[in-house]
Amino acid sequence: MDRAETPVYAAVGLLSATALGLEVLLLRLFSLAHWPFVAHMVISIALLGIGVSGVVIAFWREWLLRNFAQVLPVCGLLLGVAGPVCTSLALKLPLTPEALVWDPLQPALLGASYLLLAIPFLFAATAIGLALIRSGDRPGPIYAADLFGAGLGSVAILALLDSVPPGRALALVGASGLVAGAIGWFGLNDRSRHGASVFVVFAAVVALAPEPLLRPNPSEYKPLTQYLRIPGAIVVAERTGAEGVVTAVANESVPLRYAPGMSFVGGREPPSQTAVFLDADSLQAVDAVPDPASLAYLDASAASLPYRLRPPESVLVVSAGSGTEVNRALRSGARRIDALEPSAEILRLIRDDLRAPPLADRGKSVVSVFVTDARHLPNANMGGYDLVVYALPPQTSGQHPMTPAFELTVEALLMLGDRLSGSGILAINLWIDLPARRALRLLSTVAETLRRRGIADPASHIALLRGWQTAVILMSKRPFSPEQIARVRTSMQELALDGVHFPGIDAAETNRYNRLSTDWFREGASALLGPHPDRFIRSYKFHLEPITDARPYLYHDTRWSTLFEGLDLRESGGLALVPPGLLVLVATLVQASVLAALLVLLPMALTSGKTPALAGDPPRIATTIYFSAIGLGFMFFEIAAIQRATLLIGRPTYSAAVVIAGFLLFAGMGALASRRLAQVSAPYPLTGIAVVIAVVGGLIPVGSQLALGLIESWPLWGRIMATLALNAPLAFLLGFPFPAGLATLAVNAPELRPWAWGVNGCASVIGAILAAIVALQIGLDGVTLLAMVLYPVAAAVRLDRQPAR
Amino acid sequence: MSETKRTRFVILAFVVTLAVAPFVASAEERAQFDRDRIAMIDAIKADVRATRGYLGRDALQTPVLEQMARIPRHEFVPDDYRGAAYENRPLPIGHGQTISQPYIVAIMTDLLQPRQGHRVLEIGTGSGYQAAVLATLVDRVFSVEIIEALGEAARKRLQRLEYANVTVRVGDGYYGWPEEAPFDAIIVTAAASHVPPPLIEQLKPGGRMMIPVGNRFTVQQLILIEKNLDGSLTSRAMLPVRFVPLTGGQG
Repeated sequence: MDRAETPVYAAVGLLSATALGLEVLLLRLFSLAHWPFVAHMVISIALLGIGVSGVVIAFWREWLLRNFAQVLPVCGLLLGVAGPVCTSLALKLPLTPEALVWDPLQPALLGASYLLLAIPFLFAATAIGLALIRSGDRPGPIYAADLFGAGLGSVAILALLDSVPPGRALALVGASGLVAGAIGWFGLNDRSRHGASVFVVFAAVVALAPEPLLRPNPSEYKPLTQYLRIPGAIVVAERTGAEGVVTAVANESVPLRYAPGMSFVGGREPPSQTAVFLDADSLQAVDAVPDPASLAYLDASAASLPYRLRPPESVLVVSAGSGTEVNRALRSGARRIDALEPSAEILRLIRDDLRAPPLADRGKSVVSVFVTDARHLPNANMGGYDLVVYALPPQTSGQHPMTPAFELTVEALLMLGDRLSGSGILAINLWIDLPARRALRLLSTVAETLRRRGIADPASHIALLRGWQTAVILMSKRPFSPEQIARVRTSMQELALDGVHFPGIDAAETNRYNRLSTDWFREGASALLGPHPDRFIRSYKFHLEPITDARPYLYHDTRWSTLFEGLDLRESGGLALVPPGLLVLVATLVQASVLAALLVLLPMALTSGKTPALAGDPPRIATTIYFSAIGLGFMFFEIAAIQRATLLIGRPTYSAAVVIAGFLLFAGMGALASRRLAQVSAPYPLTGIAVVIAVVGGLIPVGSQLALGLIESWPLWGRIMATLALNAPLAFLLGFPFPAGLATLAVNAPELRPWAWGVNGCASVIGAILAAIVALQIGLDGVTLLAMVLYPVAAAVRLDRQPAR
Repeated sequence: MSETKRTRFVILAFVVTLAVAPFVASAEERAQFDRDRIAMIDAIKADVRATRGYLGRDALQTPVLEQMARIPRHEFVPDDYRGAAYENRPLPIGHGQTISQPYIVAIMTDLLQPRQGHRVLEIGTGSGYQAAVLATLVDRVFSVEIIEALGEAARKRLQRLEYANVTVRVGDGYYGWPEEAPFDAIIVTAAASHVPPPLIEQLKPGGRMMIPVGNRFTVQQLILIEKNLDGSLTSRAMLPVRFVPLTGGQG
């Protein structure tokens, strides 16, 4: 390592940290301002900026390299300014994904967001790309600085998000880009302190910019925005964290009355409530009453059914949220209640800010609250519950089809089933949707769980009842007794519930109170619990396959053919069949492909004067195949790893940041090792490395399942370290092919390096979204398998055999 | 004609053109709106025929479409969207609210079975278009809107358009409108986590309550609650789209 170059390495590392910090931050900001499914395009956006940087370098390489001493600091300056400015502008665009089908302006706005947000990444990638090219056949240290910086940046942003509001985090990320510029100026311009100090002043101005200027305003269609329009609504508390912004809103003049699923028969007005929103969405209510005896409204919905069958002594509440289900358990007289809630911010807000009593010890009942999810019980000995109950999830209009529901997979239900007492019941509360799909898919999952448990007749262990808005599925460890069935029947009458399935159900007990022209629920349940569920699942217009850890996509229930049918029928109510998340995913793939082709590939193709056209140019074809294959392969492995990390770690933003950081960090180490390998081994053993990547990558799915069994009760930091360790070998190996390819080109065809950089970026842009769509289609193992194939394909190209140019 | 006279004539013609142009343009715009409205009604009729499997009928049973053919929907949308007023799609009206797709308005209205002599309660006035449609079919419409700016704008709009039998009130709709109860029909277009018990009380035996469920742009399902003559309640859930069969398409 050249010591004189240390400031360049530091600047590159900080630029990279800034870019990755911005990437993770954008995930959060878009979830807050819009919906998570819009946030998904962020990784692809960053990669578009990288792809375009390849074009910029190809066009003006000589000039940029000649003026590198100024270009690198100026890129830092532009990154520092464009990061906050472009992000703020993009978040102010009136993007309304639900209107994509109707409003011709919306695709343009989506594209505009994409382009605006790619700008900061363009500056970061241009500086880093130039530094790599400038390093000639020794790209290792720069590449390592780039990847180390990226890794550290994505971890630092988590700490920042846990400490400051999102607007301030955006300002600080911008400031770090400017500091990178200052370091670059200092190191490359004769240690000029004057020049560097100008950058530092700019950094201070950006860091101290008023937070409200940069704070994202939630879309006018988000529930929080709409709720705040009601006269008297005031924000009484807010907590920010890496997993979301939690906002509490009170209203004395028009109080919240939130009682989802309450029967229209015998319903009662809820008492005074405080509204709690997560990321301006997902409304939940906190019952601010001193005594659960006054919460009679809780007894008037399908969710009360499991308590009516037999009052439980001990209850485990999964995804407890604002505590409604805990209150219901308290009302039933349960003595021991354990509640799991993954959002620490929600719990802190309820306990410390609202000082609301639901989640506290009360009288004879002992309530214990744990900040965790269903897959990470804090104590391996937790068990013996009479009832394990999934609280009704908050309703959200922006569920991402890629959001994995690991808490409801067959594996999760098997694990929680083991925590039941001998006569225990597991209950899942859910929203009704038409045409019937989610309820049937969960029924299919419960049935599969029981079959895997060795129960030949799952139907005798299952009950599913529906009201006008919500439903409840019960999975009993023992077959339901006649007494329990009698109580089910009584409850149906009292709560106006319709039977979908329970042992001994009569046709007259279905479709009575909440009538459908065709009782899809009953028909589906009969088929799914009959002798040939697979036949029915294959023929249904929505996905009803049981959800598993390998295919955990409960919210991706629309088949492609059904999506297109819905689009065709959009003027006659068909929009109900078009999930906006899936639509945005497809629109993003199309836009990413078009933009990447226009901004990366087309300019390269048009510069035939400077660089030869693709056709009839074997080195260029080989370069294209090699760098696109490793670009796609890297993204396929990474996206699959992010999804699996959500299972291992349990927190989506942490998981994304840890995997992005880990992949880049260990790939950075791989890049360094790659250089050493090149020195001791000629020819470079690329084929061998590709085979090892395929083998190690193929072990990841098995390794994840084994690791989960081992670490499920570990604390968060332990799970993070284990996830890093699990991905480290693969990420290390993934660091080899890119610098090896660039180094090979530096010898054989140096003018193709910008093209290689651009193609790799372009493939990554598309790969980030394509991986998501492939995962929805064939599951995480399928994505991994494709990635395993792509690396040997790249190795087969043999860049090292290109004729010298 | 002298040069001076010619100049005067040109100026006069210019001034006259300027003065008349708005009226000509306005008349042309009105004619265009009339044509668009007819096209919209034809489209809804076709869509209703297509959805008969779910609605249980080949055509709407009430004169709702005849009335919608007379209602100037362009008056209920923001100026920016007047050109799209008769497209069969939802449109934003500001304040995070939308005016529903005309097809959905038609079938929701029809399912309420409105008749002369009826009194109807609407929770969530929005632009006032749904109230206007109902006003042409029943005796009285009482509409509650919680967002003051929307409620006031709708009240003025409905007055200007001479829908004298609509009364708009700004306030909380949870408790309905007890002074004017009972109602033959209630439509709850505001987001509702449950059916407020006071609304059930204010519904006449034999009355119907409609609750569209979905987000601001998409109606996922229509919930129709019927209060039987003995006071018991049943609900029907409908998907407002032709979509049969559910099985057999995938093989």
